[in-house]
Amino acid sequence: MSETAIGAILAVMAAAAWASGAVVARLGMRTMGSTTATFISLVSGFVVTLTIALAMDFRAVFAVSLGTAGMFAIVGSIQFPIGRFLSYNGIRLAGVAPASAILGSSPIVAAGLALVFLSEELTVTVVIGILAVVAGLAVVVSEKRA
Amino acid sequence: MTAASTPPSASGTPETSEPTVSRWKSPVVIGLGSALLAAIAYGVTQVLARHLVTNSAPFQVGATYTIFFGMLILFVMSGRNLKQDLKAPRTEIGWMAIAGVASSLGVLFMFGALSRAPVTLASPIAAVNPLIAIALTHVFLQRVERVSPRMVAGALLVFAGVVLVVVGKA
Repeated sequence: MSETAIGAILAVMAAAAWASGAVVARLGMRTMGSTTATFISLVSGFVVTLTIALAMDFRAVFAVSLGTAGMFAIVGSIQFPIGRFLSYNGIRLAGVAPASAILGSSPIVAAGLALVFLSEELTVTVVIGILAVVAGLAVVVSEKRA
Repeated sequence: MTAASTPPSASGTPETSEPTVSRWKSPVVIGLGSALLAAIAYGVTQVLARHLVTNSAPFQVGATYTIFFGMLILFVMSGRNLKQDLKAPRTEIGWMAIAGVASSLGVLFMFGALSRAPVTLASPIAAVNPLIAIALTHVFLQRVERVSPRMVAGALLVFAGVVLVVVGKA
């Protein structure tokens, strides 16, 4: 199996894990605030990922340069506080359906940035596929809201 | 962040720019803008993560550091409410802990995907997670949800899109 195929399978597993997390989080956010709920989820998640990282390669965890750690700090601060806060704000002010439809467009943003900064190739088939994913998600989410 | 107040009507002054400015400050527009910025934020992190896990560190290490820094920032953000929120029922805290394990495994898998496959392949595939969430909610939370033709059409569109992305990258 090629590396790309393994990557595609891992992306499917990521989607399944995020979906499971979202469903379970519904049970956990009945009385507590979303910021604290996210913090608790990150504490338990950190323990698990750290354990996995240490088990896979103990030395690699402590071999990260200060610059690389700083870059991961930027990724972490964009992904969790900024991204999550803005998405909750969007859902609160605009509603679940329109906000989720726009949030679903992140692959378009990612593909555009990958094209510019990572010099990744973007074929017509892939562009149509990405647009179909975004459009399909918009249809499903808007129907759920209705 | 507070929502903008209701704009005054523009009675009798058709040439004024007030209604246009007010429309841009409406809660819905701010909400849509927030969602768009969130989508950009998620897109940016995937590109940055792809660069880092292919050049600077193994994916599992990257995921661990990313979650660690996110946790630190959220600890500061939730500071005032943390003590009060931790008085929530143990079961709720337990559910959030389980949700965190699942979501963090999602980050770990995504970083693994980005270390092996281009962003233009991994990102659209991972984007189907709302679809899986709806299916899981329907099955495990016993919600009675009508499966309409429109919903089936949307799901088929997402599936077709993923197939096209995979075929286009093959």
